[in-house]
Amino acid sequence: METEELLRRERPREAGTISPALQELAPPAWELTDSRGRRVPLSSAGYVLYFGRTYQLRVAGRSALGPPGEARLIGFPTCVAGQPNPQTITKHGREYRVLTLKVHRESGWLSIWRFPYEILKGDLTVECSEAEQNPPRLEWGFPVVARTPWSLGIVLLLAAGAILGWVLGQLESAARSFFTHGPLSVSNFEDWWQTLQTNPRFWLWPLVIAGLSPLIALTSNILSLKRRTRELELRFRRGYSENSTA
Amino acid sequence: MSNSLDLPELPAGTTEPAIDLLRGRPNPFESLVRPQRSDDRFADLHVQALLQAPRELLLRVIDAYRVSAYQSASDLRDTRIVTILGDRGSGKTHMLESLGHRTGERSQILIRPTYYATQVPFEEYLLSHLVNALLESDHVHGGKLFEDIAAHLIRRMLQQALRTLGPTDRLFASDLSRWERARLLWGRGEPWSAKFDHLIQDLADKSCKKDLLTLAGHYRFSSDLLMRLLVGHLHRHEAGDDAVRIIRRHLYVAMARNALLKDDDALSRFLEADYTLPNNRPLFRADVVKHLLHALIEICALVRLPVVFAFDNLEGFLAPQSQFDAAATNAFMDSLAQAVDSTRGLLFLIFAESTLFRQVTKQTNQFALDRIRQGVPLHAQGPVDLIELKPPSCEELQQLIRERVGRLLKDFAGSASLPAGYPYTPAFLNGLAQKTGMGLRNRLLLLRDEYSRVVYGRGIEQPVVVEQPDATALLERTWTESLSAADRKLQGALVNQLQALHAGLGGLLQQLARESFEGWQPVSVQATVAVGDHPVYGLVTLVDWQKKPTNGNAGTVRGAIGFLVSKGAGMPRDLKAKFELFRDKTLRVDHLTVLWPRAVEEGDLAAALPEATRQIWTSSRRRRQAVLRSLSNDELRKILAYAEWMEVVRAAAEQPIEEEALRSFIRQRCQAIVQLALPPVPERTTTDGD
Repeated sequence: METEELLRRERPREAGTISPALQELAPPAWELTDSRGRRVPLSSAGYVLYFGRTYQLRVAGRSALGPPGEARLIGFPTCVAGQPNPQTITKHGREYRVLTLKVHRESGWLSIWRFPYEILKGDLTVECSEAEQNPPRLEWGFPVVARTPWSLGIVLLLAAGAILGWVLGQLESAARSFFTHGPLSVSNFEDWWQTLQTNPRFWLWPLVIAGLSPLIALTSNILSLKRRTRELELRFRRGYSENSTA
Repeated sequence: MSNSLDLPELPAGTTEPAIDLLRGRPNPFESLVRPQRSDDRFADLHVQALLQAPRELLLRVIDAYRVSAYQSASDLRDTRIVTILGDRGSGKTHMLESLGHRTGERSQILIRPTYYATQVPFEEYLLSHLVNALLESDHVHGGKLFEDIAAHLIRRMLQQALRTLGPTDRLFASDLSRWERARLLWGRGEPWSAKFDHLIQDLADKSCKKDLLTLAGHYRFSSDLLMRLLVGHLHRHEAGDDAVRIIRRHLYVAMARNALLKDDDALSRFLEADYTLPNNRPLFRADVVKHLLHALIEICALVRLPVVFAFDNLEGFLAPQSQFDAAATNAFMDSLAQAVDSTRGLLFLIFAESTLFRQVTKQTNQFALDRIRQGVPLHAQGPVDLIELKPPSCEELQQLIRERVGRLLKDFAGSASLPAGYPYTPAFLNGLAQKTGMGLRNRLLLLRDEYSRVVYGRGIEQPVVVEQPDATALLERTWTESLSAADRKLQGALVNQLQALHAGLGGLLQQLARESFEGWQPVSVQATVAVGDHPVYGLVTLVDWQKKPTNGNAGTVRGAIGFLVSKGAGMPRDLKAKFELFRDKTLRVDHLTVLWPRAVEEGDLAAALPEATRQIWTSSRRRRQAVLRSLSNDELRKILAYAEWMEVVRAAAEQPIEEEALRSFIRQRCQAIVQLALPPVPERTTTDGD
């Protein structure tokens, strides 16, 4: 029988080495910016990304004066796509490795209906390698949440709500006319159309629906963000339990 | 260096004002020996030029143990022994003292054991002394060393903990109102996160002298929150179930409690903890001690502090009853040699008189001698294993006179015009220089007497020859000083002094051997004996008592004495550890006396024990062989003071003190302690215990 080399597991850290709690295991300086270099806002549900936009993850070297190491995304939610070939930029005299990220909605038949309510979340995990540093590889992660910007969303929802309201109002008038005048015929179409247009409260439905639709979307967004916040807070409390200090 | 001086004669008429000034000042050579422990006058008496070469060599040896970058245990230097030899009065103690007064940033942990415990594993002995050194108030720099180390390392660890904290974790760690929480759903978390960045910057800034809690308070972080973040960081990064990691986690939490919560007993509780591995696998006493010792050496290495054990009372260790104890010598040298092999990062300095050390080396086996001679290799020098203190040269003496007299004449306008060696005549100094075989102390004596003659106009008094000097004044003075030192030690956790208490009690009973107390006589004493598995609580003193012969038969019983010093959760474990001595059949102990430090003596002692401890007491199978006795604060301080007092007395006495006088002094002051240690008669057992 042919023999094989035994594949040994990776050698564990020696017990005699300095405690990792005292070692420099924190990630290097990094920041998440939009395409114009502005910092991405931080919420309790994670960094807030907007669908359709491009972002930059800028990672500095681990030593303040040294060049940045290799950086790559090793974990990301489905809504985030990393661009290949990271670039290097210099800002305030310090070099950064730049990973470009594109945020997109989930595609599908129902996506058009979901767009105001759609909130996608997850963790971005980054790995940075610098051969001359100890340890040579470092990993860190941070939560992100992708959604539609409130400003654009509200305008769209108001417009869509108004149109929908108007259509609903017209449908209501048409139904009422149907029960009053009978089925629609070519001869009385003009009268019927005029009646629909002269409805004294034709603005009521558009106004109500236009007002309600952003409110519903906002509530749905808030609930979703709260849920994500609770998840992250629970994760924090598990890692930093209050009872562990006794 | 020459042994003669070419000094100008004193110019007549120019020195009278200087002499007048000196007449109003104390004799600068009055203090002939350094006290055993430092006082405030060190800077006034120390002359840098004296013994400069051996001191600088010793400092180089110590600095070789300063680790510039610590990554793992292999960065620690091998443990080595260096012997400093000199005649009596050659300046050994002064040199040792000067190590503690090093100028500049460099310092070291200088541990000066006052007793040697033959029956305790040497690593436990080292651990106990290291812990005490960390918790004792530093007389030079002030404060406790452990507090300084904890503040330094926790600052560094906190910096790492905050840097690894995720962005949203920073928000959850902030003290947020409901409104702020609601706002954070939208964003605007940057100011909260930036607060952490500012604290990290300040923690990393070495020029920022603000203490940890002040910094935390400045950014409105509570110490409880920082403690929580730090412990979380520790559990994440120092994870693992092996002994090293468990002990390290406990140690770092103890340091964090000390630095952030100002918990003074944190280190004591760390030492008292029960270390168990997962699935209740046992962790043996020797392993625990080894890891505890390494963990403490490691934290010292992380702050670039060499750990130096200086044995400067070899006579007290190896000739406790003024008789050279060959067995103790062998045990001591063997233990040192074993420690060279089994530990890293320790430096042992042996300050010994040349004649005694020759005697010691004759008794020492080759195994130990080989290790004693290994030495510490120094750059461009090779290994250093021996430093000899030679009598001072003429130049050194001249420097000594210039500095000491110069301090008295610093306000004198014409001090610059005074000749070298003033107020001594060149003839006197030349004569002194010719006495090549004379040691430092004797030269200082001559300088003192000549100064007294020249400056004060006093004749040299011929020493009155007496058969035995009256030692009572010396005993009384040193006893009071040692009691004060013991009081200071008692301000900390008593459990750290457990070995010292046993050494004191054992030494005291040894000194009173052959004395009779209520018909009982202590015939043999083992001061510190390790029993059971607990590395801190498992200590007793074993005494063989002989009853006054009745009907021609002398009965002997073996008693064990233990101190119940722990408080709170550790107390039941403490008591249980004492009872474990009955499991060791080789000890052949007949009874156990538990001494419980307690202010109030009235009432049933056992009933006064806390619930859990009382249960251990009442449910013990060997309960009938045990007695619980109350130990007052006064008795406690006397026991603690004893070992150090003996060391001071032996070093300070010009001539050996008569044993009878010593015994009588001890008996007078410590009779009550011996009575507490007496074997319990059956009636007493039932009365005290039930």
